[in-house]
Amino acid sequence: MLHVGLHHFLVLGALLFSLGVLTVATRRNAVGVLMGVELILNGANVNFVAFNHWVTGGISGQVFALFVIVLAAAEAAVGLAIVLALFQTFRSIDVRTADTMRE
Amino acid sequence: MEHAHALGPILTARAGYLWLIPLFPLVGAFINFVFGWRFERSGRKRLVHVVGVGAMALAFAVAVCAFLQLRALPDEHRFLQDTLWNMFTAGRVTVDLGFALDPLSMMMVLIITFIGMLIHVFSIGYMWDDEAKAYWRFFGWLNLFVFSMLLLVMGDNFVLMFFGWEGVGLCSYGLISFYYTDREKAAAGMKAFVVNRFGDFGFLAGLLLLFWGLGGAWAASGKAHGPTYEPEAALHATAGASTAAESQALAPTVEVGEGQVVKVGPTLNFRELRDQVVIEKTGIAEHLKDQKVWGFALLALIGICLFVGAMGKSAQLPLYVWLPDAMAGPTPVSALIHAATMVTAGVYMVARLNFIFALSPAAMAWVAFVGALTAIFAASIGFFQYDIKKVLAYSTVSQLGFMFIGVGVGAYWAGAYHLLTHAFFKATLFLGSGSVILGCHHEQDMRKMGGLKKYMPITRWTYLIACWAIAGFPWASGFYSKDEILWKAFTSEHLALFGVPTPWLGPAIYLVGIIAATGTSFYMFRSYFMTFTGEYRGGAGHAHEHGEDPHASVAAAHHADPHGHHDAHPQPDPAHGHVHAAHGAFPHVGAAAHDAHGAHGGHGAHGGLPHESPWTITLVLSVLAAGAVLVSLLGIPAAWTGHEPLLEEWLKPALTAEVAFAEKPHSWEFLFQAIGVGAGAVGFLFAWLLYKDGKSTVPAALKQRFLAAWTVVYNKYYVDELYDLVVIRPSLAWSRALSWFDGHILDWLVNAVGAVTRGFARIDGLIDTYVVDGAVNAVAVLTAEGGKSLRRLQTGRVQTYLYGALAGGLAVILLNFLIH
Repeated sequence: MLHVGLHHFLVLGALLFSLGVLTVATRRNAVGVLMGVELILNGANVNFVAFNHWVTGGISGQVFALFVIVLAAAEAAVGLAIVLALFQTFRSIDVRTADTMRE
Repeated sequence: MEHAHALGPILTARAGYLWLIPLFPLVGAFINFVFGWRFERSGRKRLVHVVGVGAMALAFAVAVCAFLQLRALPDEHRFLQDTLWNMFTAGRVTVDLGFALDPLSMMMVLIITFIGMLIHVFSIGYMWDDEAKAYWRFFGWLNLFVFSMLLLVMGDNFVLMFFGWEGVGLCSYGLISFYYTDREKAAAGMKAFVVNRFGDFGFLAGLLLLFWGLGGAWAASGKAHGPTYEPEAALHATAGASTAAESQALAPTVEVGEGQVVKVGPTLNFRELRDQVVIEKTGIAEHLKDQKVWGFALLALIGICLFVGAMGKSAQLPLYVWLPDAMAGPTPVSALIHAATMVTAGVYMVARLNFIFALSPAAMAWVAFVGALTAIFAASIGFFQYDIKKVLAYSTVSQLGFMFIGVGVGAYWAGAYHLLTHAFFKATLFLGSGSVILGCHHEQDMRKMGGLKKYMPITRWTYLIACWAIAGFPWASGFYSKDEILWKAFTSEHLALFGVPTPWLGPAIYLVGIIAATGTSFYMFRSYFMTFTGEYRGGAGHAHEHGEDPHASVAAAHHADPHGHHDAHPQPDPAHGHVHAAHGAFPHVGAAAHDAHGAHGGHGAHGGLPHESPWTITLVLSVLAAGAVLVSLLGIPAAWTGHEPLLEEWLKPALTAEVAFAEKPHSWEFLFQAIGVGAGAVGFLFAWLLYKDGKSTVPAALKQRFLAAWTVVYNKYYVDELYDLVVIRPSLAWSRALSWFDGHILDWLVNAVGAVTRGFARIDGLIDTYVVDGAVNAVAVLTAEGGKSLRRLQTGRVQTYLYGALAGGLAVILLNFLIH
């Protein structure tokens, strides 16, 4: 019988983080990139919660997770605002178009 | 030498107005040079000669005042001094702008201003219608000349004298080249200037030798003859003086008795020089006699060098060649400059420095010797010249030779007297020839004259009187001066050629002189007879030859005489006539056009009869001819009257040098005077027989007989050709060689250096371009290329940077693993 332990959570967190990074690195759609950032944050959240449960006890890890969720919401708001500004400037939300810093 | 009576220093009298004498001509020259052309253009041409003659008249008036003041003074006090200001001071030498008049320079000043004034008046008539259209320039130069000449004779020091010496040379140049558009005449001016440079070199050398002999040489010889003069101390004492007063205070002096003090040592002042040399007590004369330069006696060297200067200015052998060519100038110039005044500057200089020359019998012997040679040489050339002015030019050279015989044998007053008489009669002759030339429409060839006594009576009589004077017949001045010179030459006991007493030299010079005098009489009367007697041969468009066939001289292929150029054409007579017809084809104006004022047009026209010249000319001729007779009163010999001639007495204070002459009884002197008159008569007789009325055919026959000799003499012994060969060609060749050397060797060297430098510069340039610039550029290019390639990393895409960040993170992790 499958015993769900700390390792599973850590693997899940790592997967989420990796998928998030992969998403951020490869998506061309800015909204997709933001979603990748959410995945990364949630991967970190899983780690917080798992360590809190199996290692430290108490609630501090969970409180951190809540903070991260709030932070993610704020980040999403700011990110979407940036995406809107991006669209207004370039008429596209493809992150590759925003390369005016080049040269 | 021994002085019969001790001479003291010159006592001077102040005459603060002397500077006015040279000032007037200077101002006149200034006005005419600066405003004259304006006067002439605006139709006030008269002002030009008013200024010119006026300046001369004022100068003459002041000179007469000076003469009266000088005459009123006692004999030994006759020295007028007028010092304006100090020009410069160096050590013990002070040079002032100062004028001095002693009897000798007084005589010169009177000659210059009086004859100068008359010649200015003559020029009014002669130059009024001149083709050069530069009336103002002529009078400007003439006034400037008189200024320079006055400076020469009045300056109280060598510096002013030399200034005048060069000034008259300059004016002579300007006036000989007056018609400067004519190449030949311009060249004649240049010739005069260049030949005079040779003489001036001698003059300067003599002057510097004299200065040196009086100065530093004292210390070197270590001997002092004076009682108190210590040369070395004196040399140092005045070395620091920078003002005239200081120098005066420091100058070494010698007490010569009666509280009189004489400044000794080198000086440029004539009076100081004379005092220290003449007064025996200073010992300077003895000292000078001891000096030697390269084994030559210093005094002889000084005398000869100074005489070389005189040779140039006074046209003596071998530097006389410029004077005949100087006839290219207008005739009044020939009369004033090349007969009466400038050419006598050399004689004046020798007489001025008589006390120096008297110390060296060798130098004096040379002066007399060269004078005698010149006298006979030039006289012989005068025999066969056809150009009336050329005859007079050679006559002038010959007469100057007589003057040098005079000053050379020590008869300074006689030389000066001949200078005076010559100034009168030669000015008369030259102006007479000018009148003839004007009357014959600018014809100078005597073969085309003849019979002029009918047309120009006044000119004829004055010319005859002057001939009478120059030929040496009594009652006209030339006799007295020439015979005095020759008599003194015969009795001279002072001469010493090469330092050895030569008692034979005096009589030898006498002999040469008497032959020259015969020749003088011959060529002068020849010119008179050819010009004034017989039939008029000009103007008819037909060359009627004067008993001498010019074609006979075809053998003389080349000669310098421009008027003899027909000779060179071997044409039969009729053709020759055509040449003249062509010559006379200018628009000509008949005799009627010549009014009393001498307005005479048609220059170069051979048409029309000769005419008498305007009154300005005849008046001047009359005055001068009268003068030529009257100056004889100044020189009636002592043998006739018992007391010495007036001029000798007058000049005595200035001519203090005493020269030994043999004592001969008066009867000898009468005999020699008779010989002198006889010589003149012989010359006259030959001229009479051969040339009177142009009828005799003997001259032509004689010429045919001795054609070779005639050709040589006619061509002036080929001296000009000789100079051309010996002096001009070598110096031209030398200058050509130098030019070649410059053009080929020096330029090649310079160019080679240039090329080498350029090669180096090119290599240097290459190094700079490729090595230095290359390195700099390489750095820049590498940086730029590096930047360009690295720039690609900066994509501006967030995701690319993320890859970087991830890679970095991975690398950190991997390293972490690896390290552990």
